[in-house]
Amino acid sequence: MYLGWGCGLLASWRKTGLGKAIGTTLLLAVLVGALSGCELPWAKVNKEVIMATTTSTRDSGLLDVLIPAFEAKSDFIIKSVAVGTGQALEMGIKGEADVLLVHAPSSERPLVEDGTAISRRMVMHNDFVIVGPPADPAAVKETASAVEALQAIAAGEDVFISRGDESGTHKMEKSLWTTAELTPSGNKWYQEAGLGMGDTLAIASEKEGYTLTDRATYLARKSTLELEIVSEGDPVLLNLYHVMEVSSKKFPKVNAKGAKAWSDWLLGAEAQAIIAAFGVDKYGEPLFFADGGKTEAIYAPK
Amino acid sequence: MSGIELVRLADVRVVRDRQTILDIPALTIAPGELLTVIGANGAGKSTLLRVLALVLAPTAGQVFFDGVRANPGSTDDASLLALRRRVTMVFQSPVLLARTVRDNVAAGLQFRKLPRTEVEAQVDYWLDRLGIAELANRRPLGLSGGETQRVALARALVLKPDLLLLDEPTANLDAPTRARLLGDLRGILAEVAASAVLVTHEVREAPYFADRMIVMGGGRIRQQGRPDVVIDNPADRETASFLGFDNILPATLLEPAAYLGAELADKSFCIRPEDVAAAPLAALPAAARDGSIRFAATVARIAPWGPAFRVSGPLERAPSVIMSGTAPAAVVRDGLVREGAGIAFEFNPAAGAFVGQS
Amino acid sequence: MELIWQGVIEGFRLIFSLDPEVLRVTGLTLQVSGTATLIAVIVGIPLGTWLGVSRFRGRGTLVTMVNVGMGLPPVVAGLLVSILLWRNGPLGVLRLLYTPSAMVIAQGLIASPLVIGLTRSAVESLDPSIREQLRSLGASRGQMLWAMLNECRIGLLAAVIAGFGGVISEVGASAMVGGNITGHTRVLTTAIMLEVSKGNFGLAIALSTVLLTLAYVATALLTNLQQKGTRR
Repeated sequence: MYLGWGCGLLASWRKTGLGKAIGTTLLLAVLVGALSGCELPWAKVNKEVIMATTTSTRDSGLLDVLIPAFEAKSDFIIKSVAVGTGQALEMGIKGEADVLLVHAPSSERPLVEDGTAISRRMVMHNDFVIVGPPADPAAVKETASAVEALQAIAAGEDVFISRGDESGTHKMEKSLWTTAELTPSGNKWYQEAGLGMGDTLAIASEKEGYTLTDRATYLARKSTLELEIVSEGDPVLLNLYHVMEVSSKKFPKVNAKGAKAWSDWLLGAEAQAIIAAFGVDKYGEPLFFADGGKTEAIYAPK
Repeated sequence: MSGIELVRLADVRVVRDRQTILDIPALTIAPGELLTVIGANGAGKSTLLRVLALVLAPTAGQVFFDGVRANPGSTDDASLLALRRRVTMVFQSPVLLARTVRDNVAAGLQFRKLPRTEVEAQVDYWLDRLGIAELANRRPLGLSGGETQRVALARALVLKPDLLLLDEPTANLDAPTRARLLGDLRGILAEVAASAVLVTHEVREAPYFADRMIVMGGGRIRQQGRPDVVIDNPADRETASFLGFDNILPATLLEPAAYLGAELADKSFCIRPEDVAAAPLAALPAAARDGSIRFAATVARIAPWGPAFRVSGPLERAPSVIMSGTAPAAVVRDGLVREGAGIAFEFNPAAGAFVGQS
Repeated sequence: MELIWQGVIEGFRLIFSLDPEVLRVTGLTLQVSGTATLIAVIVGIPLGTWLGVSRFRGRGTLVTMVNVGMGLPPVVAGLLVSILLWRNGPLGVLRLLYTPSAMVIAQGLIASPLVIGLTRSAVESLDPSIREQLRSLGASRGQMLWAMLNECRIGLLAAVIAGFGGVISEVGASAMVGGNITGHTRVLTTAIMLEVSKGNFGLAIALSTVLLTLAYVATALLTNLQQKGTRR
């Protein structure tokens, strides 16, 4: 194919001059690039569903089990694009994704209110924990709540690593600081990493500092870290996952059928069972708690 | 081949950067004719060659090759290519391709898509003819100047051109190599019966090589004719100076000389320094030899010139005129001829020539 | 050091045991980067040759642009291509985002200036009178250009090697336009980045070993081609 091309190029070069030949080549190049991966994309019914989710969700490994299970039963293909929470929501706002699976309820609600996303349903939850060095210089283990833990860390000016990236974890962290009536940024002990959860944990481990993390990522990484859970269980630390379909009324190009099929399946018995069992064989405890059919109100802090 | 002309230029002009660097109202080259072109740097010799090679399109005028009009750009590509393949040029600094000598020589034949067996036969013959057969598998890097030129010649000759153009092919070579190369070339050209145009700085070589000599200056043809005639009879002062006639005097200085009949008022007389003897006045007999003219002068400059010395200075009877002659080494070493001393220039006018005012 | 050594061993084990996931990722790496390099060569060598031989007003600006393009940060290229291929972007109708084709386009954009620039440089450094001398030997325009390309084939192959090296090692643009999706658009570089962010350093080093081996083999083949026929 390229040989015939090359000959065509040389021939057209001599006849019509260089300019036209270059233009033709560029056009052909773009087309070849476009065709090299798949069949003509606009000729078929769209089987691809683009799901925007977060890096921590991806890193937990849950999707590597859920997606193949879904694809075995469905014609649709799920393309899971894992980015920061901010970017995932932005993809929904721009209509670039078909379905969202994120865990930042306060940021999700505006999307439902302005009609960008529909059918927002809770899928599961996991929780956040505060981890720190085994030596626990701020004596966080002795505090009774997440807010108190942060106050202790601030008082002791112990190193705290923040995600700093508007992710769900970061937003949870910020809300805790607000509740504690503290503004940690600007202090030397408060460092904003701007990285994913796994990398942030690695930094905290390296610097013998504290950080807020979701339990799943911590458990997955535990063997490479020198950090322990120092605060857990506080209801405010719950991390609620919702699935939302991007509105095809607002964005006609959205694969509404695929998004709905995936979302419905996630709430179905098979998916919920997978979620509930995930992690048990590896860590002895599940990483997530299945919440299909429930609403977030049940977890509101008293 | 047809007719009595192989190449004809008509009103050809080449203008570059708003300067006319070539202006040839008419030039014809016959089949089998050997031409030599001489001139100072910038005289337009290389430009002329490029026009003849059909690689440079003149700004104005027509080029006819074998009766067919050929202007690069105004004739369509295929027929121009066919014409261009009948002319080959050998450059002053030939660029050999990054391949063996054999493949270099074969290059032109390969462009013409000749069958491989024929290519090999031709290449072998010409490598042999130019005495570079043992270089066949060598690469360009490491060849001497003479060897490179022979390769360039071989790759040109193997193409059996109707017109061979040589742009100072011996300029970068030492004297013995140059002599050998030109000697071979003369014989080869006679054998091949091609027309040839040789551009050279070495005026001496021309008569040996060519049927016709062209002197160029300022983009124009100043003079043309049989080499031996042109060399000793320059048509104008500029040509005279280029041909080595360092002495250009107003002809009136030669009066009275009975045997010089012609009207001398407007003419210049030129003679080469090697034909003028410079000697201390005291050492000479009282009168000039029969037929010779003697001028008294003062020595202004002495410069070495091969085994002898070149002596120049203003004439006594015409201080604005400077003459130069040759003095043997002995008189200079002995101090008989030295700066500021009196001297006599003596010469036979037959050794010089008259030049029209230019 | 222990970690690196173990990773390297694991890398070779993955290669020789023909681990299916590694095979798939490696295959896609070759497919994407190979195609991108090929496109860059097909577009770049003619463009670079033309730029090297022609003289016109504005040529200097074009040369500068190409040179700047050679240093174009790959992530910028990735961002540009993303914006073009977004669903609601100008080329969104092609539905190319998050496919290998998008990665080929982005990588092609990264490799092309390299090939163009180095080809131009190689052609320009030829003796200027070579064109005339080839013409005087009776070469047609096409034969002349072909012979010139042959003369600077060392420089041309350097251009190809540079283009290939630039894209096989690229991670930012590939992640951006491909999405690093399991089974669809994961290549060796994005896989390494993923494993590092997950903390699987051993696997990351192993994959790096695979990538380096791949790059070495490909580059060695090209270098061999380049050095062929230059025995002096």
